[in-house]
Amino acid sequence: MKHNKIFTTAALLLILVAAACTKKLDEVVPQSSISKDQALKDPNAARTLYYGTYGLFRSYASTFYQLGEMRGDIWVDGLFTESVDGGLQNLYRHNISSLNVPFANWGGMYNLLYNFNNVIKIIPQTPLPDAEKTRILAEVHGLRAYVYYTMLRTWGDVPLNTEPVETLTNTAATYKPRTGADSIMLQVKADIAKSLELFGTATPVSTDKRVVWSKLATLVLKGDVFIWSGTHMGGGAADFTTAKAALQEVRNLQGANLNLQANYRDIFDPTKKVNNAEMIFAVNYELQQAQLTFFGNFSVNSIQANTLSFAQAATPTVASVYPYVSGANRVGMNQAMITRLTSGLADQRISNTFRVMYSNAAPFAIRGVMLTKYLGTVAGTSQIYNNDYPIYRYADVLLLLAEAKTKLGEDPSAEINAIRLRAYGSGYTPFVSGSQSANMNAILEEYLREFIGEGKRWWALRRAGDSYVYANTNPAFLSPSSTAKFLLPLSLTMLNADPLLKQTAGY
Amino acid sequence: MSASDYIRMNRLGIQARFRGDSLDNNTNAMNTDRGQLLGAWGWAVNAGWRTDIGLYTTQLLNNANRSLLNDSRWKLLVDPNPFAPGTMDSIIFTDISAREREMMILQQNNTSEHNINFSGANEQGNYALSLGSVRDNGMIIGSQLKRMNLNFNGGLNIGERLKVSTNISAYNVEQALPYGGFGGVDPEGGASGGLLQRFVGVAPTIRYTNYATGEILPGPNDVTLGNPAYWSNLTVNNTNQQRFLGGINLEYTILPYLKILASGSGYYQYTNNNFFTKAYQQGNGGAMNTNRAASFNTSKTMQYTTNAFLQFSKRFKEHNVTALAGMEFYDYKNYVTSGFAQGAPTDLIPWLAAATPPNVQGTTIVNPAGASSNFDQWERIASSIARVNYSFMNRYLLTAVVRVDGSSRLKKGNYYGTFPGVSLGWNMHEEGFYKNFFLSKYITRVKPRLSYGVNGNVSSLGFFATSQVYNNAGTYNGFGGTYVANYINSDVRWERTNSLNIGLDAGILNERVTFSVDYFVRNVFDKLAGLNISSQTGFSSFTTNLGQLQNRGVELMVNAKIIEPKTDGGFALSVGANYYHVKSYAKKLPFNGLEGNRTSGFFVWDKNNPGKQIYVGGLVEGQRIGLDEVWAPKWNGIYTDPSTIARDANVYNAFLPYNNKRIKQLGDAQWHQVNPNDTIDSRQFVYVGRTTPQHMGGFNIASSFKGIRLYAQFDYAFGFVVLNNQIVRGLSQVQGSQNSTTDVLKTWTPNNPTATMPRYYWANQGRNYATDASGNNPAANLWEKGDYVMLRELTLAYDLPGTVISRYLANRVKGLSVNVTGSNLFYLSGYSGNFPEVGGVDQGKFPLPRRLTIGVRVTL
Repeated sequence: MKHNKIFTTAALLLILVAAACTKKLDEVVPQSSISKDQALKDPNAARTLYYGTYGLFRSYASTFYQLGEMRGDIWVDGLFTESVDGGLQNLYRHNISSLNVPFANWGGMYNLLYNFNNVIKIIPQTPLPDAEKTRILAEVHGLRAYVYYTMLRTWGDVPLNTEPVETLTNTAATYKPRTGADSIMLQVKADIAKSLELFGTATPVSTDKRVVWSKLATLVLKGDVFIWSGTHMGGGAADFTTAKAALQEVRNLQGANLNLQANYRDIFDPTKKVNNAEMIFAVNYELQQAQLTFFGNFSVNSIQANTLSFAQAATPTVASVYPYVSGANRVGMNQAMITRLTSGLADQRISNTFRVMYSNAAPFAIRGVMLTKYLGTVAGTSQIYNNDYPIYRYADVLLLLAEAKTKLGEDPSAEINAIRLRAYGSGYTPFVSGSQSANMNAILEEYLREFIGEGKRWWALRRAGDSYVYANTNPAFLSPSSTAKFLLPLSLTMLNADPLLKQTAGY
Repeated sequence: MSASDYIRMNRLGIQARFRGDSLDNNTNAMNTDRGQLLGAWGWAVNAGWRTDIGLYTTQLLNNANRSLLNDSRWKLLVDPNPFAPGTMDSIIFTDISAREREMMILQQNNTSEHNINFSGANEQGNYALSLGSVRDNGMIIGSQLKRMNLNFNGGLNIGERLKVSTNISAYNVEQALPYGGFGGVDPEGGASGGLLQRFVGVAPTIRYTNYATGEILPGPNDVTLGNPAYWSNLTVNNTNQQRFLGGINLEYTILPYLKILASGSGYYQYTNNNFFTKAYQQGNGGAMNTNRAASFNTSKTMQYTTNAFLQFSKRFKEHNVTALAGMEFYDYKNYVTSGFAQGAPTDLIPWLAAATPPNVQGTTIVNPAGASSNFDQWERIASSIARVNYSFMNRYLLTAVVRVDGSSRLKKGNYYGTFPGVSLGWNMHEEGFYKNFFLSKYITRVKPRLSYGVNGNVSSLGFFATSQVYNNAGTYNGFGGTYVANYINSDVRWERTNSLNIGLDAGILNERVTFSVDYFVRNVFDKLAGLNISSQTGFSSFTTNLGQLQNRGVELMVNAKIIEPKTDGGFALSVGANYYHVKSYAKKLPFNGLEGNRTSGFFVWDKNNPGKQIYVGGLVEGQRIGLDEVWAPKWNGIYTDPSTIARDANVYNAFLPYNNKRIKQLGDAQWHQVNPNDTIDSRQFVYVGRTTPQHMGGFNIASSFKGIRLYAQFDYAFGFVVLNNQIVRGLSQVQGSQNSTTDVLKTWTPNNPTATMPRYYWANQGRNYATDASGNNPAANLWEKGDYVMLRELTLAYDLPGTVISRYLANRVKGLSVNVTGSNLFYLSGYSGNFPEVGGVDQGKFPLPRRLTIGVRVTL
């Protein structure tokens, strides 16, 4: 009897303890992160998701840069002082094949898209004020359009995701074929339209740092996109007219807060970010947040800098001018490009973009170039790379507008001359409208000089049309017989991971 | 590789780079590379390198520097000029050999260890206390370690029914490492972080000393390449850690056969790291960095375990039963704090106290500082456990156990897993029939065993792996952001391992030879693993319970007393050996619509079915797991005459960086084609081997004679491959200015037309040694067998005989023994690197220190 009592008591005790244990396990929740539940209940938690899209977008800036510039003619087989950056070399030599796949896994862009899709889905369910919700959605639709547009230009057909995947049960359910480029273009245009609708009728110009997407940015993107669809997707004059109208709407706002900066240097000056009249949307970099370091291979090693001079003389050595800059010189411009950019009338864009480095010993031969646009500021004995990286600025508006006009057979000289006036000062050579191709070549020359290091040149050549690409590319690398290379291939890993994916045509 | 294998390669490297680069028929490329050749690193036309603080010493001989040749450190090399055929250059240089450089980072490692134990017991209780200390100066110059520990165990019987025992231990360690403030100097690390590979790979003409003044120079502005004499002293990087453990155990007897066993223990660990970087020059002639960054971080771990069991133990005639049931609860928490600041005016105070507070100059923050705190890890495990031991007449043994574990890493509803186990043993030699059996005279013990058990595992999941949370996206324009970085699968379950073990223990000739053999089948169900998924989902993989994997293996062990001592202190000799072998299979994989639900592998041509492809290097249902397989391109030789090049004119090498991928030069590798379709790509790769040893084990020999004991222990592993990347990085020259081993002399040159190794190119431009300019997929010919036998321990010990002790030490000492032990003494291995024990790519690991231990043990 006594024994039974002991056993019963023990059994009861066990049951009680077991229930208590489950409660103890429930208590273990993450202490230092924001959960989905919090985002749905707390406006500040919801806002972190919104800021997160920009933080994430920032981490793709180097991809956007490389896609938009490295396949162009600026950096082809240049002079540089260290072993080559092999990845970038493959891009400027168009050494691309089904086995040599740059930006495999879609350059990781689908994580960015997932987060845009997630914000678009979650934000309306949060307790944020309605006006703020609308503004956030307007911005994120603009950002999503920009990303899909970049992907369309890079791969042509791409899988289309506009909703975040909530549950994954098996791998087969994640397979997805590529959606035709035409449908992707429709999606881009739909997002642009949605963004403009959500931004509303007013078009304010920010007087703060212009580091979030805005209605102005959507309008410039609209111009950019419609010129592309007019050129490459059969849109023709109707699309060019739409583009022109969107860009003209921005141009009409030109004034104290929206204009070209008289000093080209001021556009990038990290101390002049607030109400920077030329900026429309830039990716923000600040000390202790993130620094703009992806141009490290366009810089120079600080020890080599002792043997390099900015003049054809023993001084000033690169080290004496930039003692705290570190990096490596693995990309450069070739002599022809250096000569093209540095001879003739003094162009303030060139002198504020890069500097030619010479050996500091006779005969002072050219060794390479150093990109100086993004060297930030010096704090103590450290270089702080806190320049913002522009996505769109007012010079884009002028040149895109000039492009639209050219494609419509109109006179683009007003826009080209505005750009030249700022670049060369009042002694500039005025441009006089000529044939369509002469006009386009003049525009492309300004693109070349205006946007070095801003990821624009390749897209400008592509938007101008295939013949302009061939005219500015070494035929050994890309020619009418290798048009497949306009679009990038998919890697074997991608094809293996998803049987519904088809290789890009021509690979 | 012996240090003297390294030779002066800098000069040769540049020639090779010139030879290899005009292939693309592209004048731009040609000019570029010529331009590079004149500038950059390496031998110096530039005056900047020639000065007393220049990075390299190499220079053309002239009247101004001719006097240097009077100094024995300077050497002369007469070498053909790469630009002007037929002319010779006289080059002077200094040279630091690889051996000298190894000596700059490695040192003799001394460890001294002291222990004192006090113990005693009587009927009321027991007491044991030990104190110890260790001091070790480490193998890398500048490192050191000091440790002290205390251990106490005590028990007391309170009355008849209650026994209490307690244990307390404390531990303090202080450790210092050089280079630490620069981060990322990892002895075993990757190509960029591995100190040994990077540092020994620097051109030997590097200038670490100002030869005019004797001043120590930093060398390159990179801690892994620079002068250790300069960089290793620049940082303070120390760690101190305290650990305390306390536990109490209670044993209360309710009835003679019924007891309550309960225990509670707590563990506390506090770790503090301090970093400080003194002002330093960023390489020879570089700017001074006077930031003097200082930082610290601490982590605090607290862990509690409590349990209580009821134990029933009784003998019914020949039946012996012990049953136990109870619960256990475990709680673990970790907190971290950290802070950083900079701008101290002096090198002398390595603490944040000396830092200058942040201030704004213009729009720039000078001397940034910050702090952080977090409660980053938390786990609870709740378990119920029941166990029964049963034996009958010592013939049949049965143990059955069942436990239910609940883990906070899983989501509610999936917390608990139930894990039963049972094991059976049969002491056959106790049976009457066996005792009558004639073999029983020789085989005196036979015990077949059978066990089956299920184990649960969730440790591969993160602490909060199933919580739907957002990740940190950094601060943007002053605002903190979050994002979805990974697909969080909150529905994962316990991973379960079912082990079936069949074994036999036997003793032959009264245990003179003992023998044990085991065959096991381990089925891992619901394996927790990351599964690669299509990247358009936004994620590269997701964690899930992955089908069923299986390990099958065998384990053998034999020990033999070959000579047994006839008298006390007579000669004795025994040997032992063991062997282990396991193979892993994928049995069932998550459905993905592909053949065999294959995942994580790739396709190669099947050498048995020309034109057919097979899927290797991954997981396929029913096949052996191939994740540790190495597949690589293989050369069948090199092109030594133009006719073979003409014959292979159509062979297309997809890996070549040129536009014309059919270009071949004399001395290039002739790639093996598994499928003779004249296309060299990743499908032509051949099987090289596995990176995990297929056969492992060890053996030992022990002998003694009159108080002298000698013991030797060996271990071995074979059936796996290693790549010595110190050699391959030199040969492929992918880094651009890496030193090479003497293997480079075996490469093809016009003057060495019978060479066995392919032509040497700068930056692997000819793709002879790897498939790209980063050193990926090194050729199969460069992989080596890792097979080794190591003499792990050799000990000689001497116990002073009792008679001597009583005569000379008057019994004040009860025992005295001395021993000498050598550890990690030598490898028998064909592998060219330092450390064959880990397969795969060897980035230049530190060798295991050969250790000599001298010990004295006194018992009072």
